[in-house]
Amino acid sequence: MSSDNTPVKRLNGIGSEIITKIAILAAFSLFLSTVEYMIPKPLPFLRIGLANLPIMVGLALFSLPEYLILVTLKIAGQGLINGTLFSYIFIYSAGGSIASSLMMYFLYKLFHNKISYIGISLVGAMTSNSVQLLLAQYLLFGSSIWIIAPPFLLMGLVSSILLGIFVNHFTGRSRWYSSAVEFSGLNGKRGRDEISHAET
Amino acid sequence: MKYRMQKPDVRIAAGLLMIPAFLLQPGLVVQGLQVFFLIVLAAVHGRKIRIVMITVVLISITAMNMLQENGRVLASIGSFSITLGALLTGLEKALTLIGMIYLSQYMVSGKPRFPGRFGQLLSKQFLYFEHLVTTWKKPEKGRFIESLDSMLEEMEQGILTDEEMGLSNPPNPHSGKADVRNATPWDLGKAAGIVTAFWLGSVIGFAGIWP
Repeated sequence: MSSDNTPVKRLNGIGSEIITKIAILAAFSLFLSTVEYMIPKPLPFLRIGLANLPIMVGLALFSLPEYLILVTLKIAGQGLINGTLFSYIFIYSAGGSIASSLMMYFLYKLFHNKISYIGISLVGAMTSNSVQLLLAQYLLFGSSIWIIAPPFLLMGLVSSILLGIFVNHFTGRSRWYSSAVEFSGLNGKRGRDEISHAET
Repeated sequence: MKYRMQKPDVRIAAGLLMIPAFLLQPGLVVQGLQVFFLIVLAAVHGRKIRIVMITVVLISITAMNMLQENGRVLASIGSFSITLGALLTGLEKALTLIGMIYLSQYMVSGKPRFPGRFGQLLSKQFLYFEHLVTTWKKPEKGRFIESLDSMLEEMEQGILTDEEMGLSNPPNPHSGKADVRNATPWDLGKAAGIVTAFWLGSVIGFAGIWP
């Protein structure tokens, strides 16, 4: 165990600037999750997925281990702030987030020149919702959960398209994002393409 | 090296000790009382009770389970039958979910610190989160992305300065202040009392005194 008096400089070989970016996006995800928590929902597990916005922004900025740290921070932070860290809700959140994040990451890395953030967001939402439905079937509801699957998936479809549109705009116009992409050096070309596209 | 339990860890330990008594509880009435106990426990420790959330969870999970007919028919509405087995299963699942949510709320109410580098990173995340919550202003119309951008740039610049200044003891989740006090005998005694009361109540269910 490291000392509490040591600043977080490096984590498994990850530099402090990257750690700062991860922590900022994780905090932003937590902020959006809190905003979403305050929005009334017809059923407690129906989510808009606002907290996934920073997760999608992180696709172009981080390597897989860094990206997984961001996702883990998002899940743990949400569990802590909503007080659900030791409950079934946490299992849903973790299952959906991990599956969708991995799916989005690999989709982005393999096809980022062929698919927009709308498509990535859509696939991520469908993956997350499907995993959550499966978990709900086995943990709480039984097979009758599939009765609410159509509206659940439909809501995921609509919110993920809106989220994808927003991420497209954000990544095209954000100065913070463009400098972060340049810094990461992972997908600099894509980042520059997006910026020049937005400028034109 | 002598281990001294820290104050926030006491509630985590107490909660972990209560989980078996709750999850293994066979009696629905006792389980309902346990849930009430956990809700009061969380409220006493400063967590909000969300009556609407509790009601929605209770009704929705019970209703969903009632779609799978099981056991004696209690009532029929058209072709839909309300069965005793399905009703009890639904109530049990709903109570389990609500109970675990409030037990979890109690466990994290002490603002626990997590060990190691990941724990520090989590604390750093909460540092930024507090900054966001306290400084976020409603953006001008049509300038949402620009506002977001400024906030992100400001946070990155600000925190780099903090590091240069030697920010060495990241704050606790929620509070912004590190709470590394050791647990007092009073803290331990109080937690032991809560766990004992919870287990004693659970024995009524285990012994089959109450259904």
